[in-house]
Amino acid sequence: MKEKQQNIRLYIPIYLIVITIYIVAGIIEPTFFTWNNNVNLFTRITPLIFAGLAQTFVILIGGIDLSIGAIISITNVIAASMPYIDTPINIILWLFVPLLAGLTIGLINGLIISKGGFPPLIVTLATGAIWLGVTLYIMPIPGGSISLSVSRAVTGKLFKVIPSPLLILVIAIIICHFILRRTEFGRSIYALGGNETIAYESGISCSKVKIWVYGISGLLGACSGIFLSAWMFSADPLIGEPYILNSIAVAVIAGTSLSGGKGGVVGIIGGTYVFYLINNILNLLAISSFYQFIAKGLILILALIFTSSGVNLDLKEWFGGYFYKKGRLLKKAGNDEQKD
Amino acid sequence: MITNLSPEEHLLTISGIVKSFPGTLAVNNVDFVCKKGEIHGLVGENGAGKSTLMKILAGVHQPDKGQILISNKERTFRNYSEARKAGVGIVYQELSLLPDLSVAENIYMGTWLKRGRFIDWEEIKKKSKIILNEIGVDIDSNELVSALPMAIRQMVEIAKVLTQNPEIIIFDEPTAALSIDEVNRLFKILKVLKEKGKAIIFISHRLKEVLDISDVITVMKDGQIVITEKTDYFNEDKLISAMVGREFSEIFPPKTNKINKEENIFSFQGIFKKSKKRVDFTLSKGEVLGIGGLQGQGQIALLQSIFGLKGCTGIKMTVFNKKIEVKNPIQAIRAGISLIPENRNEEGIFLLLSILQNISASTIDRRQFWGLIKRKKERDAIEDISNNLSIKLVSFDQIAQSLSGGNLQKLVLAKWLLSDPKVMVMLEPTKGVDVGTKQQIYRLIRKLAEKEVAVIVYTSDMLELIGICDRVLIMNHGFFTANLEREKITEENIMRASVSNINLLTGIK
Repeated sequence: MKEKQQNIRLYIPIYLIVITIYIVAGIIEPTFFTWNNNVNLFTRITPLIFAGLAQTFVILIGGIDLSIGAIISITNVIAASMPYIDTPINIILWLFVPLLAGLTIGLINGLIISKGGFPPLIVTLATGAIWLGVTLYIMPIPGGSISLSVSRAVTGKLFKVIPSPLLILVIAIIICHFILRRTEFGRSIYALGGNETIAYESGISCSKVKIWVYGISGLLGACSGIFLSAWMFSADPLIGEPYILNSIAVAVIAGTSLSGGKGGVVGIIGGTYVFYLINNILNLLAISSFYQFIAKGLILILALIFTSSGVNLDLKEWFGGYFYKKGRLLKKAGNDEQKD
Repeated sequence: MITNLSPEEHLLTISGIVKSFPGTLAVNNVDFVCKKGEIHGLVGENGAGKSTLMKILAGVHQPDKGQILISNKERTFRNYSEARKAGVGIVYQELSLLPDLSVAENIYMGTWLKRGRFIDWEEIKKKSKIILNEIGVDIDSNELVSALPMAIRQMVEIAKVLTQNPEIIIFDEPTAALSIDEVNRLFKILKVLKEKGKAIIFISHRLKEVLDISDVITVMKDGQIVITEKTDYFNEDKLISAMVGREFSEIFPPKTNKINKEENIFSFQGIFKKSKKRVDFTLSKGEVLGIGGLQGQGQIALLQSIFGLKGCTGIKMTVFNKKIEVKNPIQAIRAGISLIPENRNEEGIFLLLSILQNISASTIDRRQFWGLIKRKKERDAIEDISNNLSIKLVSFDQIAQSLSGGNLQKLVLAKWLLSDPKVMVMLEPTKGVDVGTKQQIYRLIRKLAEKEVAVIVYTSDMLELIGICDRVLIMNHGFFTANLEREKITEENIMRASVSNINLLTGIK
């Protein structure tokens, strides 16, 4: 029980921020509260949430995946290149061929990084460039098409109320959370991110975990690419590029520490919302796009302050008091660990 | 208790110093004086507060309370460079030299001599030469530090401190890695410095050396000063009983376990990589084996290779007369081998993960079903083991970093006990833990030996080696020089074997 409480407490601030921004947006522009607007908004951020999930896994082991953009692009292109006449077999192809492609690309990343012992930053930068080239070879200009009914099913509303993207995402996040918290594999991810040497000496097979984490990143990247194809009804070979850095930003805002071993997926919807809503508000206020960039940057730096410096996104720490002091003292204990 | 000198003669007066770290009171109300031209020995067990006190003096830590007077002027240091300016120099136990730079560069590191805005290399080389000559070291100041033997590096370290012309020089275990000849050389330097009127504080675990070189000795225990007296007052026994505060037999549990020499429970054969020499040993049933010797003679690499880490080649091991193959930690754990690592914070504990994640890290695969963790079973197992070891904690989800040193060590022990080891390899099992935890760990080691676990301990604490081991193998330069059993495990025998280049038993080089 206590574990649950602690985790929830960790994610409260990000969702409080979301609610605050949401209310502010609603006051500025009352139509903001309409259900349609919200469904729209949610559909728009879904690909980024998937990309953020992918990045979260990789960042948790202390790595990074710069090829996520290319994975999104190539799976997007593959999905829109499948035959689009509505038959069950075609729908399965549309779904599984890109998924398989994403998984394979991710596993290759993982293999190179773990077996070669190379830095993930450079490896994924390189493979990202290669796969972007392949994508452009397959489809040099935007095009392709997918089945209309599939598109409606994925981006529409279930029972005319619940937006399907929300449903898909909630399921995806629950699965990810379950993997991270309840499975041996998830435990190994945190251990590996916490300290690779200790993880290795604890009998965790680090290379296997690494390979599969990059595999999962590829798989989730593919989800993003497939969703984009359904939403846009076609494909664009350069669609993934902005997701490279935005996915990292979203993962960090959601509370995952870039040094690894700390964070999770529960904050990811909130993190993405914050990232997007601020721009949305600035748009509503008709503020020039330079300021939007500045705002994005500032949010990211704030997020870094909260995660990397070891300050928890903990309510009690925000509002001072006894626990704050105690927390600080305890933290100091680790740093000053005396050696006599 | 303190020598009755008038205050004017004291170069250094420390009074009422208190320093606490969360969970421990490292230095508790300490008074300490040192005068010009005096070598002041400072002894005490690991964790007695010597190093913390010296780090306060050198500005590394800031005291919670108390006063430091140097030449009767009150001083507070916010960092090392302030202390250095006030005339305090410290020669650390871990060498702080950069191996890929030259001797001269190292000596003037951070305190560059300049001509205008540029570093004056000619002057630096000239001055380095003069300082090295002063302490009787004849080396080229252009030479790289990495090319020098350990003892000479220590001299360079001293030269580096001397450039600032300190009045008070602290030597924090300078002899730990030196042989007897090299120690004598160091002592000559100490005497030269003493004649120049410097105040020297000398910290060492080797009591004989302290008795030889010091004029006054202070004994610390549990953060307090037990006694300060002229050296004539002490002998080795008096020092030990002052350091320990109780009888030897009270700290270490009696060696009551039966050893069955006929029955081999563990054997190791291998060739040590660095020395290319055979390092074979066996363990009898119920025996605690210690690996001793000076620090850095390959003991750690040897024991790590049992666990599937690098260090030896051509390894053949048997556990209970069954051959086992261990190439990596995964296989080691499967074969029933546990390793308590040397550096708790770097190799033992995931500082940012929870206690639960830490303890179960090496055994998750035993409590899972198709990859899913059996959480109830896990909690029960962890609750059990942490109650057994009486780990003080608030909740299992508490972040490990928030525990004190002793509890962290117990956490590492809990993690490895949970894997039900047949062979328990322990590197420095009591480094940086309090006395109470130490006793607990000693009792645990006995208990393991009684349960017929093969316990192999490496420790740099000689008292510990004598107190807990049934048999001690001494290692020097990557091979064993002696095999000491029960009554033969004495401080003198260990020291002699530690610095010898031949196997004292067989006489083979």
